[in-house]
Amino acid sequence: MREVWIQPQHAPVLLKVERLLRKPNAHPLIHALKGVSAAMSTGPVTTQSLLPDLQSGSLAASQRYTFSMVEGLEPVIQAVAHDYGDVHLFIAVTGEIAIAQATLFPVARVRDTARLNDRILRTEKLFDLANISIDSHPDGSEFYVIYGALRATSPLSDIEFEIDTLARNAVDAAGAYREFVK
Amino acid sequence: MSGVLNKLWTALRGAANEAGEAAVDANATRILDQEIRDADAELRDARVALAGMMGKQTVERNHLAEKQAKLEEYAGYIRQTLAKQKAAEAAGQQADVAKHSALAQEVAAKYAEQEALITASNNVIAEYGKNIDVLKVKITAGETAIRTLKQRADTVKAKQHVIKASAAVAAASSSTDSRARSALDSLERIEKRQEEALAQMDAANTLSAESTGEALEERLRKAGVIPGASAASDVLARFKTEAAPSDSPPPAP
Repeated sequence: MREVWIQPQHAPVLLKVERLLRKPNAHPLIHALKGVSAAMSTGPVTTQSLLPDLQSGSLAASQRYTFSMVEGLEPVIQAVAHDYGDVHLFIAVTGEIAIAQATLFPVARVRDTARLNDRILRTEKLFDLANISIDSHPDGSEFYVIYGALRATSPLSDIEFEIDTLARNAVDAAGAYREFVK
Repeated sequence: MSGVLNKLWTALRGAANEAGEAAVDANATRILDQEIRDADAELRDARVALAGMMGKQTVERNHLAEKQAKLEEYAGYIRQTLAKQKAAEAAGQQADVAKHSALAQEVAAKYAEQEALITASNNVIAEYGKNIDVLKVKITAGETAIRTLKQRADTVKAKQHVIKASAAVAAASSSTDSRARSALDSLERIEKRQEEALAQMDAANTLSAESTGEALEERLRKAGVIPGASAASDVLARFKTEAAPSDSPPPAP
């Protein structure tokens, strides 16, 4: 018998947690709770707080990636993937969402956007964890980009996995759609 | 939720017709922020309404308890009056019988009245309960809607930050090092590196072949200095000239 002090409205959640903790394979839950408690103790994740984490993480340690801050009104992390032709990725955190993105190629260089868009809609699923969209820069120029979004409170290893996957997908996608680019 | 998307599509169409589609993202942020504020206000109202409804239900429950206590009280009076009526009947005191009977009648009427009040009170409590359930569902739905809206707004904002940063980096880099910024450029870079690596491997093979002397021998062989495969034709030619005399019919004995 043990007394537990919680907010009354969280009782159903506690019941679920209790049931899961009775199982012998409760490790994923414990792992997730560690991530949550880290996130709750360090406050909300921001772009600024993510940079030092990435710089001391495994991607930077293996010298496969270089991370730096693009200073501006809203700071954004720039990652250079040395294994993937130094492709540039940009990472930003707002609220609960972290986004990593790479530019594929300018819309202006595409011969037939209708055919390319059709191809993208049919093949995008091959690029795991990624979406492809068209973005407009402030100067009006447009680009096909590939990006992935995930919860900002995700463990660092998940964010690193997302970044590494995105870099590979960006180069693969550029290769897959190159025939449409002049 | 579909209302939000409708507004976004309208903004998108408007932007497409008007200046540039860069306006879409700004509009999306504005619309989403407005929706979040509206949904927040609605949620607050629903929570206030729920608190009010629950308060009213509690008050009504207290009234019900009072009414039930009153009912019990009347039930007690009825039993007592009837007992007294019975006693008077046994004693043959007709006047008392009539008095108690009238009293019992009067209290029974009150009892019936109270019963009706209790039924009404129960109905009111049930009605409050229904409203409370509806409000709770509304609040849960509102909370989910706000969470979804906030995530969408966050995604749009993060996207905008990333777009601005990539534009800034592209503008800052010189025409040569800006080659590295898109995935297509990186792909070309990788392929160029691979080609260079292949060329290097070829060169390395040539060098190592030369250093072991194979290349020289091969060149000598080609020049015919060292007999090799090319000498085979010479050998055949030699044999052919040797055999030439025996081709003529042998001299007669």
